[in-house]
Amino acid sequence: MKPLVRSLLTSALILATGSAAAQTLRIGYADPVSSLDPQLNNYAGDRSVALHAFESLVSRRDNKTLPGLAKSWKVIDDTTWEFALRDDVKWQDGTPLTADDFVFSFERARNVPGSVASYAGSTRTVESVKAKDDHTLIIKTRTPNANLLPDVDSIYIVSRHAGADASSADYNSGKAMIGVGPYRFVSYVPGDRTIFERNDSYWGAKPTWDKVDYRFIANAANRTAALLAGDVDVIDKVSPTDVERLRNTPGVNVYAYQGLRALIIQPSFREGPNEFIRDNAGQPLPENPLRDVRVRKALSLAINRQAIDERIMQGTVTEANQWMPANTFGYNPDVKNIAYDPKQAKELLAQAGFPDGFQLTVHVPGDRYPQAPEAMQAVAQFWSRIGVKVQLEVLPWAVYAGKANKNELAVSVIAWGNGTGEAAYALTNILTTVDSSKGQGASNWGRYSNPLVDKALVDSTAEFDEARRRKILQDSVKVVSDDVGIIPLFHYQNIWAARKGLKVEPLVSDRTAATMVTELP
Amino acid sequence: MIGWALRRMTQSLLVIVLMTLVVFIGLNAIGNPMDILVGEDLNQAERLQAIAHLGLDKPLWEQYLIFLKGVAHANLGQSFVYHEDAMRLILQRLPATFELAFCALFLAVVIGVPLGMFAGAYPDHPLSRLMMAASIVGFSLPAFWVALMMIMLFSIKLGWLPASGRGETREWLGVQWSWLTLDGLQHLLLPALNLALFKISLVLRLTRAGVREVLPQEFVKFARAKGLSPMRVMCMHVMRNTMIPLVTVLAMELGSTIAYAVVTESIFSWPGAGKLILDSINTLDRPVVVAYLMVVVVIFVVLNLIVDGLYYLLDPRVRIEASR
Repeated sequence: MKPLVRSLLTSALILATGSAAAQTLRIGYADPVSSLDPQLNNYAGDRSVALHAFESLVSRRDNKTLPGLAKSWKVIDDTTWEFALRDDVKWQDGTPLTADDFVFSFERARNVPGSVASYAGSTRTVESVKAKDDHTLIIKTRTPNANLLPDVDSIYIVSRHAGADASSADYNSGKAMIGVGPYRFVSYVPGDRTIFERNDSYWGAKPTWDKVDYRFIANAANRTAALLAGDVDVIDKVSPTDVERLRNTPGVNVYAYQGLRALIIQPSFREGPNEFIRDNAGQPLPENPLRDVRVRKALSLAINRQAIDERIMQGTVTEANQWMPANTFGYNPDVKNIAYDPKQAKELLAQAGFPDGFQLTVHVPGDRYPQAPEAMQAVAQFWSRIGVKVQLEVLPWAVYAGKANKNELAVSVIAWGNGTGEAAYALTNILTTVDSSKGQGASNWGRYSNPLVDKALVDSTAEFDEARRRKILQDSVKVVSDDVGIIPLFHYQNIWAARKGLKVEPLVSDRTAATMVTELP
Repeated sequence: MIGWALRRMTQSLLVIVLMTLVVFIGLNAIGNPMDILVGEDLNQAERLQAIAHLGLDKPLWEQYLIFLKGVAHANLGQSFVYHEDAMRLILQRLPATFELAFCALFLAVVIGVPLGMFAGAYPDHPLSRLMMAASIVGFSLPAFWVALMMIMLFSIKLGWLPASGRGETREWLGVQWSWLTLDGLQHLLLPALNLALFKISLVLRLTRAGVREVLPQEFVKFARAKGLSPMRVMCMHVMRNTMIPLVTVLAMELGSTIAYAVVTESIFSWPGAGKLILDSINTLDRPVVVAYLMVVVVIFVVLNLIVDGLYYLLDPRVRIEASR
């Protein structure tokens, strides 16, 4: 056995040094990828992998929009935007990129066959996309949409010449995988890995890596093991339980950054009795106490968020008092952290007519959000201290999602990604009154409804003055906060770990791509 | 023989039909795949469009009939998640699983049979006692725990072997294989060993029991009396007679290894069919689950046929019975 091991060891070393010389970057990532077609599904994993080969009209960071394939843009009138495109960009097969490719991309994104999480939401306000000339694009919107840039940013641009008749399968096989991005496609095995190589004709700065091996490792512990064993160079979504250990491992660097994703408790606003809300004798209450703002406030005040951050999340989150984290568009600095005050919480419960509390069943998905069951276990304890006897039920996402969506639960939990980096995205999807015709409240599981919030969304969308729009969004934060429409818990940090010598910088949201990794001098 | 084969086929078909029914009703009872897959920011009309596209707007019995119609045209449907042909997805993954399962089986036979023969021939030898004790450990330790320990020790602490994935692959017969490259073999060793651990113990014990049973028989004494060398007696006569139960068990073990290498594949991030089926159950990706289980049933049927064939070769009594 020993000589065998030794020969294996030496060959491993040879292989390792060999790959280092060829400048291969091996990434172990967490989010599943459904397809390489960058327009099929708006899933986190799909967006990350697409970042290698594709780009969009503008380039987004968490708190601002930068020029991308468009050098500049201007608002001509309330519903017309003009984008000046770069004229030095070529597709990876040598064809020049023109405005017509953008026209095609926006047309296709609306209706990709087989899509279940389409980009329809992002193109909803877009009425037409037209090419004024080869390098000027005109986008008209149905209604004034001041928030158009994050919307158009989410649409990856695909080529008309390679993509006109291409199905999603043609992207997976590589036939249609021709982008303008820094890396070009080499191979793809669904559910396993994608391999890219450097695009030498890239219009921007020369990409760092010769080759990128982008591997799907779903389980957080497996990602940590793969990094420690030297199988991969970088991992994303490091489990809070592994952070301390990785920080203490020589040869590994941990990079943690403020993230956008918020863990939020959504109380149900459904009227009448709810099987998950009962009095202390176990009989369903005739009226839903969660509709009383005093009860919601009591529940929020009863949570010691600092303790959850320190003890359960090991310092890998930041306390949340609203749905957006600090330094983002729409964040309201006047809304302060919610102080832990069980005494006041008890008083509020008594005022609402529940001096001895009531029984409450809380549901949380066990396989979706990092550490959410653990955090909710702590919340259950805190609520029990003010007399609300909580039974926590951890469900698989497959079961939970349907129940939450139908507002069958009393208290549901959502980790909202705030993907666009501004407050209106959450307003549209989790805070405004559910109205399917307007595409509002798609994930408003508790059915929270407040006319002031609805109005804020309408106003902010029509307001082109940035300062005034910011003010409208900030005011809506205050409204939701005073009304306790949701109970925010914390914002996740985005955590990457890399072998020594590599630096990881975030690009946008919690995406992971080779462009974010550079060699330290 | 033909009648027997036909009976087998009908039985298998019946099993497949029942299985598809169970999967359809079962997955439907768990939840609606759309709740999991649908985009968080889609409005009702867009949701309905997606649901209609997957055919989930129709009642369950109609979905089942559509599925049966597809099967008649050798089309098992498109994966809800990957938008690829379900069968193609599975066939793409199966070689990795086959590779792992056969490698584990190989290890089990190569390690288990000689050790078992030794333990059977010298039951009182301290080494034999040690092996028997060790095999209990091999039986009773849960595979996932051993896998984690293996990763901790060999990958992280010692850094000898990689912790996950398939490594470099090379094409052979149009399929990518790991065992053709050194890097691939390194990646293969730990998961295969992990999967083989239980089987090694099983083979060891079966072989030992077989040898103990065969040794006192008359024909062994006769062979010895004829002056055959002990080595030849063991390898030719004793081994052959112990093989029959072993082949049955190993074939069934191979079947279940291919079908349910789920745990090992998940822990070592081995991109095989087991990992696919686990992900698919979690996302209620019905076409993939159904297609996968159909493949599994077929594998078991084929293995059974092979076992029967092997009996024929190994046991003269079967041959005589068949020729009658």
